[in-house]
Amino acid sequence: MQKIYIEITNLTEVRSLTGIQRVEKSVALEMYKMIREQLCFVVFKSDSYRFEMLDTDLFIDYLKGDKSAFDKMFSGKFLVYEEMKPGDIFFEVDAVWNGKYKSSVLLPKLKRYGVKIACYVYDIIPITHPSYSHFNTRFNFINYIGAYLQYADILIASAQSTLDEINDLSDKLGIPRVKGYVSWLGSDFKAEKNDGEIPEEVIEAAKNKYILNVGTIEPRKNHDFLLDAFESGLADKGFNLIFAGKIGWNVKELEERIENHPLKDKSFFYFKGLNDASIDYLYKHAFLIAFPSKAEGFGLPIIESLQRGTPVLTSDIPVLREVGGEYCKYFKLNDIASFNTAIDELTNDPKEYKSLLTHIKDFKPFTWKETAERIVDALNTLKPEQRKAKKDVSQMVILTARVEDIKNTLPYIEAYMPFIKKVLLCCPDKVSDEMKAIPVKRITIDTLTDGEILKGRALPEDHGTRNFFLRCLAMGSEKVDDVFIMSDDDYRPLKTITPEVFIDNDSYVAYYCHELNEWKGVVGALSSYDHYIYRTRDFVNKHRYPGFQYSSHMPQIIEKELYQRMIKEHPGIESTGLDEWSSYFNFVQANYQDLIKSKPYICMCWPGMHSDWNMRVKPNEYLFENYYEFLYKDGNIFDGMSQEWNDKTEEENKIKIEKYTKYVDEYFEWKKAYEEYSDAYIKDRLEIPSFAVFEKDGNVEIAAPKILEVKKESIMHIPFMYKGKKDGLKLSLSIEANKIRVANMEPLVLSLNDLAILENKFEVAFAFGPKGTPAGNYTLIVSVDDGNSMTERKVLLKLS
Amino acid sequence: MTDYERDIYSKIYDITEENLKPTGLDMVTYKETLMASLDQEPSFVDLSVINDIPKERSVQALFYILFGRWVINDEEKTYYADSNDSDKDFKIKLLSKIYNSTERMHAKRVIANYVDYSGESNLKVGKFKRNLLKFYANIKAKIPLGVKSKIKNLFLGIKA
Repeated sequence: MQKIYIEITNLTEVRSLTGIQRVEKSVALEMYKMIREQLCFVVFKSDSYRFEMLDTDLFIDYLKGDKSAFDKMFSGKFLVYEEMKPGDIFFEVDAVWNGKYKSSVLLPKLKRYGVKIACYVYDIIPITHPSYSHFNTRFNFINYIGAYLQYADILIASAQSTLDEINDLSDKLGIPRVKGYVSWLGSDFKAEKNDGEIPEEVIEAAKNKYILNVGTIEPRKNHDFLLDAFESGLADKGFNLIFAGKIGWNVKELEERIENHPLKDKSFFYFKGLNDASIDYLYKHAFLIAFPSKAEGFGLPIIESLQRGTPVLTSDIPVLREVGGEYCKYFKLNDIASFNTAIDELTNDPKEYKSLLTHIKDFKPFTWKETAERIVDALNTLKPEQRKAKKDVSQMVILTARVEDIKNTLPYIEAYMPFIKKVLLCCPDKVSDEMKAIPVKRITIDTLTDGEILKGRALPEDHGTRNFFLRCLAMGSEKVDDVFIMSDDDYRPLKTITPEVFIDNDSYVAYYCHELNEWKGVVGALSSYDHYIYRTRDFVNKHRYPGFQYSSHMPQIIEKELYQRMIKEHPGIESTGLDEWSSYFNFVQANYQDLIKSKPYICMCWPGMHSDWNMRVKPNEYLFENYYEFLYKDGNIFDGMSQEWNDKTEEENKIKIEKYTKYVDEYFEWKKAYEEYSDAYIKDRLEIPSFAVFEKDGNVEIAAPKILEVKKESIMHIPFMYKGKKDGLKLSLSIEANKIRVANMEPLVLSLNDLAILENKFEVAFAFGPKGTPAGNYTLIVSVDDGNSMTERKVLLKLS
Repeated sequence: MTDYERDIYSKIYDITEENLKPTGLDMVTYKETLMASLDQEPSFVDLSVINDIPKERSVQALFYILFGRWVINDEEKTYYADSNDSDKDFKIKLLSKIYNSTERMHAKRVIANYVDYSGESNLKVGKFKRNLLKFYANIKAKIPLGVKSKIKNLFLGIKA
């Protein structure tokens, strides 16, 4: 079931609810009645920088007035982004721009996990009318709106006018408009439920005919204008003027004007902190409500007034015209003459006023129920499609041009994957007959040749682009089953595999080995694999798909129709050289909730060697082997063991699994030691141990931690950063003890092209001493050669 | 964050500034502060951003990304007393001052310190003094505000 996480931090932190918090409260109560099971309210905890989940029922009790529920509603459970399911919704309804988390940091993170993002936008006044906002609000609002315009799946605005302004802003920025909906604010102001007496001075002020303004005293509400109008004629016409609202921001002069007004408490009255019963009384007895605002997100006092049958005279700006419709009178913004004319029309002609009162009776305000219904309807457009996994899988489809390699792999498939009855080999035409002639015992072999796939199209020359091209086109062939296992010619099962490895109830299982956004190739020597991972990274980021890396070098299950759908929705994708596994699985996850269950991969020999790349995911078991010939020679891990299927394979597989498990365990122990050192460094210095190479003002500089602690003989991937414009700097690390070199490495060339792809962050794989290196203190030397000179930085290195 | 994404925020800042111009008011916050803060993780600060910020705007940006507070107007001016320093020297002195301050000891945010200090330790304070400062900061954090100001006034009274 799709979960909706609603952020409502402010609602739990403010004592008295006004404006946005009242909206949040009302919407939460109504949504709870409609979709209780889907909801999860979250609050941001700035001490731990995480979202804490509230107990939904207890939170609603608190909103309904049960103060005892407040402490109990904090569950102590925190939102873990990795555990949010793709397709779940993060719904922002709070005034988050002045909150503690940055939308620019949170939203991309949520997107990586396939979470849908929705936001209720009240207005964008800090952008359109920045003088009405504090500089801090302006600053934070830019971050907030910039993030939501880029990452939100939908925006729900309080008014069409607000949505129009948002779209205008997107157009000015040259970015696609976010899908927008409108849900007006509701109004269920219930005076009869409000306790408290009405102060005598309020009743006294309301005895004479008066014009009322309700709302916070702040610049955009234009109270100065009303005072000007009052002083230049309204008072002479026998009107009282009443302001009801707290003092807001940046109104010191206005506040003084109000307090020192010559007619204060005579015919001009100012009340703050009135209870609801008093506000209700003032609304009901007013001649009219004057609402001369220069900018609004909605204009709730208009609704509150019309609901009580009191006429409204409001400035003629788009949002107020939208909210007031035909039920209000309008005057030109900031135009006293226009304002006075409107007043005169109502006072000079009693029929006009009476007619307005009659007309207002037809006014039907939006209820909070309707507000919530519109919101839920909008959120429902993000409901992922439901689909169940097809369970009938008996075919394996393998892309191969190497007869000998597939010949060596097929016996393993025959032995260990009994549910596979047929193998379709996608191969060049010239080897098709040889492929078909491979001796097999049980399975049937068929081929799908390049000629059949391409049907006259040219094959891309680049290897990285070619495979994806062929796989995409092969999806159009009738020889490919609806559901099949996609594989390469060197992925070998190690044990008996059942369909349950690939299908879990109604979901397909997809095995990930890394994250696309975290992958680091070797700078200066990026391989075609690295490039295709980066292209896929850019593809998923562009389309806001999740970002797991599924090229785990093991067979994986594919549903043909879904692959075809991906191709259809991204015309030309076949020529873009993507990772055929990651593009597909992330696309499916983004579109179908629960259809894919992502699990850590279960394949050994990926990586083949510790130094190949930085493992982030540790397999829990090994059911497949990514076969590398070199691992069986030259003293490497499987040296001396059989490379082909024979009667010892079963036994040897157990030994291989044991050896590789130890190999990986060792790597993760090194990583753990590094993390412990890093945690201690952070605790001691409030700093992360960081390495960087800078080029500044023509000079090369190196930043490094004061001390580095790693396990001796370990191979670590040390994170580095580069900032500069010099291309081709050569970076190397070496270890010395008593001026004797103990270890070094081939210099890495810092190519600006590669660094741009890596976003200036890379890793250096370094072996901290050969076998037999004693523990102790050494000197790590980081050196950079710019072709003219060498810059060095020495770091105390402790090998344990 | 890609340059394209960063550019969106930059443009919104420009649009806001343009809308503010007719009122004669100042944005107060620099664009450099905004851009430096955009992808700062909540639990740590990437200090390398300081390298790209011009000296005259670096104080505001640095305090905001490190401590989440505004240093503007008079407080900001006090840091520019040595305005003849080069960009690099100014920033090194500024960072040294901040690193040795009690505010830094209080700061929860960890720094990814990609800034070169020409081989010198970033924290120019010995371990004993650093721990003393940490201890002092912890005590100070526990004293209620009202009491703090009374102590301060008492101290000032004695000094006077």
